[in-house]
Amino acid sequence: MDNLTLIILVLGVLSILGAFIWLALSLRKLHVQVGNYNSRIELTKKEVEKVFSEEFREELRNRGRLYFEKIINENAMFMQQDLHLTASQLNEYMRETLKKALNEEFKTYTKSIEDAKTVAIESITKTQAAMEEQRKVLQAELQQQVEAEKKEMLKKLDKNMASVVNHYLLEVLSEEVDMTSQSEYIFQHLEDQKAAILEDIRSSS
Amino acid sequence: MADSKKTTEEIQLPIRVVTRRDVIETAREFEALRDNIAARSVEGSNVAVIDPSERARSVMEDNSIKELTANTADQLQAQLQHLADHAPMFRFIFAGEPETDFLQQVITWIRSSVHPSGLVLYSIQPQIAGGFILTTDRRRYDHSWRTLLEANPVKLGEAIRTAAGRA
Repeated sequence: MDNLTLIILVLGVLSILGAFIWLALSLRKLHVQVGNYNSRIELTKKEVEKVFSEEFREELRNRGRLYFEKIINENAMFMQQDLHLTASQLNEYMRETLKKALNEEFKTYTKSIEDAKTVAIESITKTQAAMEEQRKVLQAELQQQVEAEKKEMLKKLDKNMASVVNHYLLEVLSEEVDMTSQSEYIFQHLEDQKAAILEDIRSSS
Repeated sequence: MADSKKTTEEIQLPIRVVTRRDVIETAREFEALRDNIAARSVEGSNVAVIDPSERARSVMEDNSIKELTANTADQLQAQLQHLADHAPMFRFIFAGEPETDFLQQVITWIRSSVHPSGLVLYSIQPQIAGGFILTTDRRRYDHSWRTLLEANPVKLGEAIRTAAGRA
């Protein structure tokens, strides 16, 4: 260990010792100052207790309470007004909203009704047209059927009537046969069939 | 066969002989006349003379036979018998009994227009109402009023309706 180092070491110890001494002196001074401060505070407290006595505090409390009540009342009134206003606005808003919604709904409903009405009218028109067409077809078929039945009935009537008349004529004619009056008819038909009869006779012989 | 055909063609039938029955009866009459002539020709026989009927006389007249002998009677009988078997037959159906004049008109028309030896056989069916039905060996000619009426019932109905409409 050389001298320099020893010197430095001594100097360091001396510095630390000086620092301790300075610190102790500073603390002592600070302690005094704190004591002064505490005594002042105590004094101040005493003074304050003297100024702010129990009656004065009660008075302040009463005033504060009254003021607070006033503030509360005012705020309540303002709040009530605001509430009324808000309620009124809310009512108005609700009325408007509902009115708007109802109008929208009514418009939609009216449009739906109009659409339904249009669809119903179209459907009815189509149904009427189809029914008219069907009616015409049925009428034509019925007319055709009636005509066919009429023809058939007339045919049957003709046939039956002809049968009855034929029967009657045959009955009447067979009762009053006059061959002389028929000779013209008979010879006319014999002449008409002459060629065929001749052919028959030639083929037979 | 050739002889019989010749025989058939030679004889002329009068209009009095209309039906096959007439022919057969006339043939039998000539047969009887022939037998009568033969019987009378025997000596000592007293067989009465049989006079020919109007029908037999008309046959003789139409065939230019003035005097009847056994031979001619036999010949006529044979010819008539042949006709009865072979002459064309016209079978008529009428609605009523035809009068003699009408039948003679029919037979005259047949013999002048169709066949000179044609015979008629007829029956009566009042149901046919009028007209005639003629049947030959091959065909049937139905010109009866019944068939005529039944063939056109609709036409009859139309005619009745037209008549009713006019009324």
